[in-house]
Amino acid sequence: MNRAICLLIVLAIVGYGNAQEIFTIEGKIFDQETKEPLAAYVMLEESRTGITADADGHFKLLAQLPKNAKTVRLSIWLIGYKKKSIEAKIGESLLIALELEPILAHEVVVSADSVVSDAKNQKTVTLNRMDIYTLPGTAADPVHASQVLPGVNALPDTSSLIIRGGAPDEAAYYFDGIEVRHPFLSETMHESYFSIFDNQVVENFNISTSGFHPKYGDALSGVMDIAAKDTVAKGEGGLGLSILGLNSYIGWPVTNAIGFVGSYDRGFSELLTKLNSRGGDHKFRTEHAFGKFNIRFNPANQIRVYGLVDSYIYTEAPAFKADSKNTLAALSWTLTPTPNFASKLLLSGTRYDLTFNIENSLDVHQKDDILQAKWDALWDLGRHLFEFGADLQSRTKDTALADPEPQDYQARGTRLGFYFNDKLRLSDRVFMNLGGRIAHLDFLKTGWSFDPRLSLAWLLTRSDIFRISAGAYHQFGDYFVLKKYPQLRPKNAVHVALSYDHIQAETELRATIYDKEYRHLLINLPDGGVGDGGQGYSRGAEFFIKKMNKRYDLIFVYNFLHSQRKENDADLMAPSPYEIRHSLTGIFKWKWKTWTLGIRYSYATGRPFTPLEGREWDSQSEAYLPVWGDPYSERYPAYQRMDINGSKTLNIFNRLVVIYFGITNLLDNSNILRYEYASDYSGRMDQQSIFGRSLFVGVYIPFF
Amino acid sequence: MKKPLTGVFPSIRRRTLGAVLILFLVFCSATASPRTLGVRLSRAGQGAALGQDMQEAKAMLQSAVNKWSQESLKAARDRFINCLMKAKTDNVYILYHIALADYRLVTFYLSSKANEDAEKSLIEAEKYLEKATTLDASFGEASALYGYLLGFEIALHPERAMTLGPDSFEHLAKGLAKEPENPRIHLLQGISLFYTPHEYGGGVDSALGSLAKAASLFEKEVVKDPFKPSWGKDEAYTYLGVAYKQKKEYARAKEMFLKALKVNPESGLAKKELSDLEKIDGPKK
Repeated sequence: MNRAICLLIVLAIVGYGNAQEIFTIEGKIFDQETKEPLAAYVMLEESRTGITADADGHFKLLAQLPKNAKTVRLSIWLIGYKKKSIEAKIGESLLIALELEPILAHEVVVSADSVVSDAKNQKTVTLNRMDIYTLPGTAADPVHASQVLPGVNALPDTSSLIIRGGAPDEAAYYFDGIEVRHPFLSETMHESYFSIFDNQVVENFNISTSGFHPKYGDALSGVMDIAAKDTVAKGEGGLGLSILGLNSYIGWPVTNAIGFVGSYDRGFSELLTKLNSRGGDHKFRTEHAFGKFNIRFNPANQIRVYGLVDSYIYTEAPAFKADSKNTLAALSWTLTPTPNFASKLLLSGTRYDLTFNIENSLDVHQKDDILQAKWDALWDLGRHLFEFGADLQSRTKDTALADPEPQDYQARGTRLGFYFNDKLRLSDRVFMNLGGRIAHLDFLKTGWSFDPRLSLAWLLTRSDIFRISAGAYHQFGDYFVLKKYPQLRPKNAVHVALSYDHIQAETELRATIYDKEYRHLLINLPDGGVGDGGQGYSRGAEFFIKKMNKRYDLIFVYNFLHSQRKENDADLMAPSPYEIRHSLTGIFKWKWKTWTLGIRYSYATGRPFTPLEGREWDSQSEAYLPVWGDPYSERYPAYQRMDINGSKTLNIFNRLVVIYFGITNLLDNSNILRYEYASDYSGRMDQQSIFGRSLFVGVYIPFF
Repeated sequence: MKKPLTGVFPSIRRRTLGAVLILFLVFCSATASPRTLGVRLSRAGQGAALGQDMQEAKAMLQSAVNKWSQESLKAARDRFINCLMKAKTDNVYILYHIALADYRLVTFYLSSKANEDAEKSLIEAEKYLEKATTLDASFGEASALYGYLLGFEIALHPERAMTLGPDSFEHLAKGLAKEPENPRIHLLQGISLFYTPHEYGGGVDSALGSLAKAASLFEKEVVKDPFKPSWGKDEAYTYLGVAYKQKKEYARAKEMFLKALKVNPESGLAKKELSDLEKIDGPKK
């Protein structure tokens, strides 16, 4: 039955006794912006009764009103729109436009270019947690997966994030609120491979490539924030077996008040190496365990206790061994005394242990211990959302050389930071973040650093958002260097970014331009000392599109970057060593019934390097010394890689078993990580990426 | 000596109290958002007349569910929206009930294979629940219903199952964590588990635990506030019956359907299930 002809008889009691007549009030309701019809509710104020318009926006009310009534008062309302009251002339066909209701400030990501996973309301470019598993070439690793996001790059085939030309150590990593300084499984002098964050327990992750929140500090380029799973309604988990070893996960609501999430993985490289066209005389063992208890005294009072242990042992014939261990333990207390105020206290300790051993020549032991206390508070006043807090971090770094000569270096520092941010709604369509952060490192003589941050988001339409952000960022840098030169000012960057997003149900598009200006970068002085007179910039543009539907997913990313720096050995402005001028990634994932098949192609301009122009004999040291050309004046060959992957789900004994495979570097491209030189500089060797053409297969069996 | 003092001090006290009260109200209006005040007001109830309207709207919805009529469901929904418009501030319980009416419409449309209408109602329901949970983060039942509705979204968009499935369970879990003794959350979880394939962690045995818990909590529940949700007791027994029927425990199934009809003699679903059961179980008697 068409609702347009559904009549509602209204008895209006207005004191005119029987001098009343039945009038018809009808009209159409539509969206002011899109002109789409709206099934809004229309209420006649005189009688306080009403009706919902039909799907075409039409409504028809019958009202009993005084005979001489000329107008009626109507209230019109639909969720998501502003309530409207109008005085309507009786007898006229009404056209009523409704305007979108102001969106609560915290539903819109205001910072210019955060890329957020899995957030329904966040209106920004997204990767969801399943993308970590299903995108080809991500190795089921959240850090690898994030490399398909705009503004994020990596050295060929390694894990470190290079955000808009910044060095890998200019990005900060957070895991459940804890700053993790060594987030990689394998951390060598040059590269890092795979993160210590187990995809099985990742709830969501968030990468900020600039314009990041003041709660993050001590990072010049960007931030990756990963949240671990917290609450599960019922038991979940499973066991995975692959050519790399086993992985397992369990989530269990122990009682109504206690929940547990944990994972345990073991890896062995032998089979993987055999199936890799590069082969090699190396092997590694990995072991990873994570556990998290969530104890709810009541909904507003929760404690979480969690820990992570990650171990990696690498050996390479004939005489090299590296052994690293990451340990993390934390306790957090969340209190929500009122519905609009929440606070979280987090105490944590992390330890990183690394041993390098080259038989008869080098024996290095590094330790990095960090104790942290963080307090974050959130006060929601509707129009304003105040976020503020403090963080205290005590860090001890220790590097001991046992061979060739025993030496021990230690540096300890305590960092204190405070932040404040107001996320406020300026109008129905304009939202602003205004905040800042101050920070201080106890042994530096340079006092407090201050980072003001401002960003604006303007909702042009409901699916088009324009964002602008500007902010200052400081990073203290290496403690060993700073201990020696405590007068050095923290490295400083100013970011300005503009971005435009178009987000619809199946399509997400983003275009960004940005400028980052660097000051106080560290520079090696001719007298052998270190100064803070370095500078630089990164300027670029990015384009990202993601289209998802029932049959396929499509992702395309292109980044352009121009970056120069006067830093370290480059005493003049020269290309940044991490300037990847052009990079693009295309992914196509096809879905059919219980099958998926994905293909990915990545291309990146080679990074700059300083060429060797010759060698000179030094009679004093009786050795050849290198003659270097202009800093970073040449580039490594371009990087190319194609990957494919696929999966098939099967129903075996009422279990949804997933079988998956992947072929990495299908075309067996020789991607060069760097050049290494003979000790007399007579020749150079290519150091290729460890990822030749290699096959990966595995199966996942759920417990429940 | 005492007389003038008692004459003066009480008036001072009254004035001081009055001043404190005014200051308190000013403080509240300055620091608390319309949202928090809205929650407080909604908690306190919004007057007897509106309470009466809510009772009538709830009765209309229950009657529409009993009759399983689209027009009656829509009329009940309109009545809740009418209550919302009469309330001076957003009341989370009214928002919840509009979503509840939308949820009933979603199931109606899905059973009539009107997927497009089901999707529209689903989107509406989710919006109302998002608003309710934003206004009152401790409202676990709204969070649970939201999670339950995400399960319907999977029915409409199977390709999103990989992300919606965990999200659905997560919202149900959050709801349960906030209100562990709320029988309707256990009921929603039980129904959700009943329709979730065993390989995804559902199945009749998993469902029975939640449904039995829901039924025992319903026996203790007394809802006096007309704004608060009070539906579901008959459905807990009906779904217990449906679960036992699936396990071929027909006697227990019948017992449950009869209990459901004792709670709500007009329950269309319980009547239909009982009649279907008698067709299966009849010849054995």
